[in-house]
Amino acid sequence: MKLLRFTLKRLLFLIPMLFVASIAIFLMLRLGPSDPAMDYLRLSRVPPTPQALENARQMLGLDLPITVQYFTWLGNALHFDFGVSYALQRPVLPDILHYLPATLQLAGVALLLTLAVSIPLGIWAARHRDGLPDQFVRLVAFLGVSMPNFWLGFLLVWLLSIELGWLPPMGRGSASQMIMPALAIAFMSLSINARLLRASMLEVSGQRHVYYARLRGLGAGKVERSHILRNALLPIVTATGMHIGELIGGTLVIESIFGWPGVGRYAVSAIFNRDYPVIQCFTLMMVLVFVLCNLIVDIVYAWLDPRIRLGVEEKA
Amino acid sequence: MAPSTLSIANLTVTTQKNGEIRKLVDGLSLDIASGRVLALVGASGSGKSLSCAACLDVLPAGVMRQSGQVTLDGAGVDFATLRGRIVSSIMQNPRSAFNPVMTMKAHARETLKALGLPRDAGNARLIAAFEDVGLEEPEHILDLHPFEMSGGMLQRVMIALALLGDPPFLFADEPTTDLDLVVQKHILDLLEGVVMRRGMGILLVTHDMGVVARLADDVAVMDAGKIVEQAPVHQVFERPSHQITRNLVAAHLSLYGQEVS
Amino acid sequence: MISIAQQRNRPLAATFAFLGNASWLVKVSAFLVMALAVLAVFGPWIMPFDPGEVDLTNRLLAPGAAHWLGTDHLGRDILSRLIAGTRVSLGAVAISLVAIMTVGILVGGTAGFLGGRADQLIMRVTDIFMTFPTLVLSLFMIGMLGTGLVNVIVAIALSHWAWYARIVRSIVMSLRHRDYILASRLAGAGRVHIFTEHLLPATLSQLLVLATLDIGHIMLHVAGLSFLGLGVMPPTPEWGVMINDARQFIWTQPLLMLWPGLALFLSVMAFNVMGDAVRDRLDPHLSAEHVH
Repeated sequence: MKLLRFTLKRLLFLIPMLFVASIAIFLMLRLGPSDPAMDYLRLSRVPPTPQALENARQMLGLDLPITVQYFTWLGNALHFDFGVSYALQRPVLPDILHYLPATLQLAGVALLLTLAVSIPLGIWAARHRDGLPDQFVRLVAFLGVSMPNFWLGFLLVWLLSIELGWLPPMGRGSASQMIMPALAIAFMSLSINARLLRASMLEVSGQRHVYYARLRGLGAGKVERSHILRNALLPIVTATGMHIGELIGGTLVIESIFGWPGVGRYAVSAIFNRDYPVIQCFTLMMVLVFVLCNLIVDIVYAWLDPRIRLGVEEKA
Repeated sequence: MAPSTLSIANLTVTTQKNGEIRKLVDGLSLDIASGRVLALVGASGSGKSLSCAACLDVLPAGVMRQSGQVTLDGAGVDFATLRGRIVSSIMQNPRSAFNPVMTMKAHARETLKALGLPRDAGNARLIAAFEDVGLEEPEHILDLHPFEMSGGMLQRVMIALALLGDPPFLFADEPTTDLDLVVQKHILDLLEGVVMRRGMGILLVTHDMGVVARLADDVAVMDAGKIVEQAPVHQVFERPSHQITRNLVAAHLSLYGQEVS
Repeated sequence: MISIAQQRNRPLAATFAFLGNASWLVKVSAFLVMALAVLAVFGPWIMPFDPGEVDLTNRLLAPGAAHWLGTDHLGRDILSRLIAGTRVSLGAVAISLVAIMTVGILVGGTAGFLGGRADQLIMRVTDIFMTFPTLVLSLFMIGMLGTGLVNVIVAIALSHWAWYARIVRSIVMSLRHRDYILASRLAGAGRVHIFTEHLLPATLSQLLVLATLDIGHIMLHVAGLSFLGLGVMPPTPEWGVMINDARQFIWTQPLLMLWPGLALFLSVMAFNVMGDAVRDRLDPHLSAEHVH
């Protein structure tokens, strides 16, 4: 019940936040150094004569006051009309909605991979503190934080597809086509997460409630699960919220290597061309995705930690 | 038949620092008899708490039990089997002893399970146990988290959990430290009433001679890992033989403006 | 532990004296970092060929005596291009960091000094910036500003400053009511004077630690944007651009993408190790909390 109220409160908070984000995005793009009308003419391959510029300005509504421009855009956006791409002359939203699911799918798989690998690795390293497993995880983390994800993508293709022929080098459809891109995207996050969980578990193991749990005769496995791991996962939840952003960012970069038909290439070419309607819509979609992800993370955190759920500040 | 004497013999606990082995507890032997309270006193760092941890096989990393045997009425047992079923424990600073993300019910349920007791679906057993230690509205308390409760309430829950499995012995490690005076008195009343009435054998670890005077039958004084004096409580207060004991007693009596005779 | 105040008066040589008894990894990394710096500065005199010289008769040569690491699809010497890439990479990182720290100090210092409403507003803005992954933020910034190395640097500065502003703010907040600050205020010192004389030096050491830890991250960032075709433009020799150039030859000449990637990976690793070592040395408290 309390969790439900917490969720509703956060959801309501979302609306003003998106509103502010849309103003910020709109203003920053309009106040940027280049002239949208010029970009429009360039992308439509029309010579930029003064007359053509004037026409373009009128057609795009750039001659109106900026507040009018914004509210026109907002009104259309509320009807799911985000304008037409300058370069492709196609409505923006349907295209983004066409590509975005593939990106979110790959990022989601990468997230699952991050959690599925980093949690066991972290537990393993914490159990064998300073032993071989701990050294191994340290090495993985060391490589992970320095590895460019796009280069790792190529290395995987080279090794697993070209040299060994184990996995298909590109495309989307089967599960085997997801392994390499997801690994390339997730490697940095999972290595950071594993080390974080290890540190967190070692910290919690020294806390007195763990000692008391053992005194009460609880078995070692039960103590590790309910009293060490459960508490140690709290900082991991927060970190995962940050990793989600990194994973989606990584997906945008990695997609092209594996011919993954996500929103990355569409967005990058729009950014390259300064195709404003696309950039605007894409950025707003990303804001929406991140805000929703953060919301989910906060709910999971509140669900795991009653101190947040019940709105209590922890006493030292 | 529940065992009536828990004997610890020749307990030695060591730690290794810079390749050098240091004895933290050195050849400690104690007998804890049911129905009696044995107070283990000494300055902090004298090895009291470590001795308890060693008996229950919960020593921190880097500290090892070098030697020692434990027997129940003369029959040798393994240290690790004592925890929970034969010896239950209460500890100081109850606020940090409970897992902050778990309710009292979750703590109690897992304790029942560890003791091999039935799950107590209707909470009847838990409610009775909480009422026993003077907790009001036990149904409500079952749903509370540690941060929603006072230190005194948490200490009572801790005692209730220690009594759940009806173990013959109790280790009470500084049970009243960090509580305010009124609560201290209530907890001492509770230990005296509910716990001692059950005829449990209690090992009371403390540095507070007032608590010793109130509860203990016998006193063992520790210094630097060794027991330096062991005697009935009245003898310790009237004719302390070792210097450490004299200091402890003198410090306590000076609170009341008295001196050691 | 050594306090920040003591630390800031240490000569640089003493700060890095710990290298004497550091682990082999830190020593190797320190050597790599110095080598990179030398290559970045003296590269043009060291590199065997002109990195931009196209020689279509010698395309895609394997490593050999003349071209140690071979040539690329336009016959350009790969080793020379790698060396030239250090200057672009380190230069971009250095300028970005200066820009990030400047914005961070200005914004964080203002918030910490003014307090109250202004502080709340500024911190709300930093919160928003910190919610979004730096890569997506800089993609948006490039969409606004256009492509190219200069815009990439601006975009990186605009997407990273919030972490620095936050640290500056918290240090300023914690110090501004200290006795010696109050004393100097009573003595008639102006706000700007107090900030530059007392508060700024205290924040610099922590900012430098954060910056050292961020070097690797920003290197990856610059290379990633160039790889996407939004940063440094071909034919400028840059590691991310080189990896992108090499992608079409992955089936036939995998070494082409191996070299620039390895250069990038080793440089980032060396800077990360140095960052950790400097952090452990200067500020053991600034732990792994700083996750991008």
